[in-house]
Amino acid sequence: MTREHEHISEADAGFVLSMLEPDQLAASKRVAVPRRPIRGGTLVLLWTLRVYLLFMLAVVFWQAWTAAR
Amino acid sequence: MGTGAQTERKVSVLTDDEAIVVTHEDVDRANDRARVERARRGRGLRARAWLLWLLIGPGILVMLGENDGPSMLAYAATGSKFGVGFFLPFTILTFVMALVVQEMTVRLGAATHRGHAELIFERFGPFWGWFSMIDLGIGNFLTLITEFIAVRAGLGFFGVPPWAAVLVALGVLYSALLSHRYWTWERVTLAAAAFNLIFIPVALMTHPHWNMVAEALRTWRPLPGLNKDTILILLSVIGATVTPWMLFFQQSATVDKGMTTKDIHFGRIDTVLGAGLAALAALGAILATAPLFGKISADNFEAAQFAQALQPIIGRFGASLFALGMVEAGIVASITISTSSAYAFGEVTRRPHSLNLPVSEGKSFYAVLSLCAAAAAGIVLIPGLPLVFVVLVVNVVAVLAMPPALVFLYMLVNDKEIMGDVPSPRWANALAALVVLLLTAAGVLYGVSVVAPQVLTWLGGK
Repeated sequence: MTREHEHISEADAGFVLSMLEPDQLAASKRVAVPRRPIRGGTLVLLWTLRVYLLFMLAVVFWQAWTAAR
Repeated sequence: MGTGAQTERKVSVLTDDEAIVVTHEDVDRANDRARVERARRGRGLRARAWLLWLLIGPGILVMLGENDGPSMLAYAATGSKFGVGFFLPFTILTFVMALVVQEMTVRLGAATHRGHAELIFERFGPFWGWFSMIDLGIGNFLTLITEFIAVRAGLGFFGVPPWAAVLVALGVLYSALLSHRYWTWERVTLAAAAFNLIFIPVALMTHPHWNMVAEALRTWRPLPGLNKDTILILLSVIGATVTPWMLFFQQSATVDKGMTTKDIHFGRIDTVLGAGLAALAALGAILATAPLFGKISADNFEAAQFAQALQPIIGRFGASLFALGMVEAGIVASITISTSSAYAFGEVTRRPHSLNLPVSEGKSFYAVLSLCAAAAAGIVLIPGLPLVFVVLVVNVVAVLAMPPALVFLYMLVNDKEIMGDVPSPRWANALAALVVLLLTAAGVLYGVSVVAPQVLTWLGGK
């Protein structure tokens, strides 16, 4: 075991490793979760919902604009 | 093992040929986990209650946090505009919807130990990740503004000037962060959130007609007329309970708390408790303002106006409680929503993001959290801005942004590669799909009410 800093003892580090699951360590977040490609029906659904959201936001702002007038 | 105070830097632990870095954040989380594991070994009701006490937090916070300024205003507007009727059981239904989707975030956080933004970015790529982030960022910032509007209006009832009201809210928000410890932050915020229940005694002071309440809960009647105003209130009530920031917040908080798959059951109880308490507070706000039915116009409602209108009915003390409830709703939500933004920013930029971080190690996390809140607070002080309109629109935007967010949640929580042996059960998936359909239908109905209101007349409205 090599210590980079003096404030965490080896016992503390051992305690941490015994209490936390390996992917709970802050350092483990540096490793990315593997990518999952989006295809077919899922892609169509996501794009449909994206268009729906943009259209509906335009409706909200149109309502705001007409109310302001 | 209570060595957290001395552990401020990193240490590398070499195991075989791999170096593992342990940080201050890890030590704090390990101390929390040690306490949970000790409690788990206990037997009997008292030990179970202690374990529950240790594991509750994210669920109650997210639900009471979502009973925020615009939400309580939406409930108050509902009570004063429609009285006791359809919206009582409908509000309960919205909390059931929230419960279904929030349980999924607990499962996802406990199984993957990753935040929601992080998982969307890494699993589906930055293209879809940025879409989600833009939705979250715009929604969170607009909502944060409304929280400070609620605080300003609530304290305005007592004659507090807007700048002082905003400073009080920022003061509480920053104080909650001082410990740099997730556990302390969670308990302080939970204590503040408990004041959301203040709407229950206010409702009791109005002496509700319990027979009418029971009848409304049983029959969902009287039904409101199908028109533009009703649809806006309908969306406001849905958006008062089901919003994208809740997904991001509860998952990140579950991870920061250190919950694992062994804790999913308690995470579910936590969420059920939160939904139950928040539903009671929401029903309290509706019942409290129901006596105003037909007496005030709720079209341009503000917290102070409701409190003033209630004063002849429940007296100065009751009206003050109502105004204080609005202040609490705004402050707690400003804490949880700005934290949700900071978590998401850290997850996407791969910078440290935890309430266990000392400021020196989490500069960007605390900076985003503080600056979001300060910017929203500053906007509220700009004279002449259409703040009431922002309050009305924010819940509607939340409802519209939910279906895309829920599809990502659905895909992630059923992804066996990251969920292992704890994917979402089929019944939960079916309910989540139903929630997506209901929210989309509500959004389409809103669009129709704005673009082609005559269709509502054709459907049987006025």
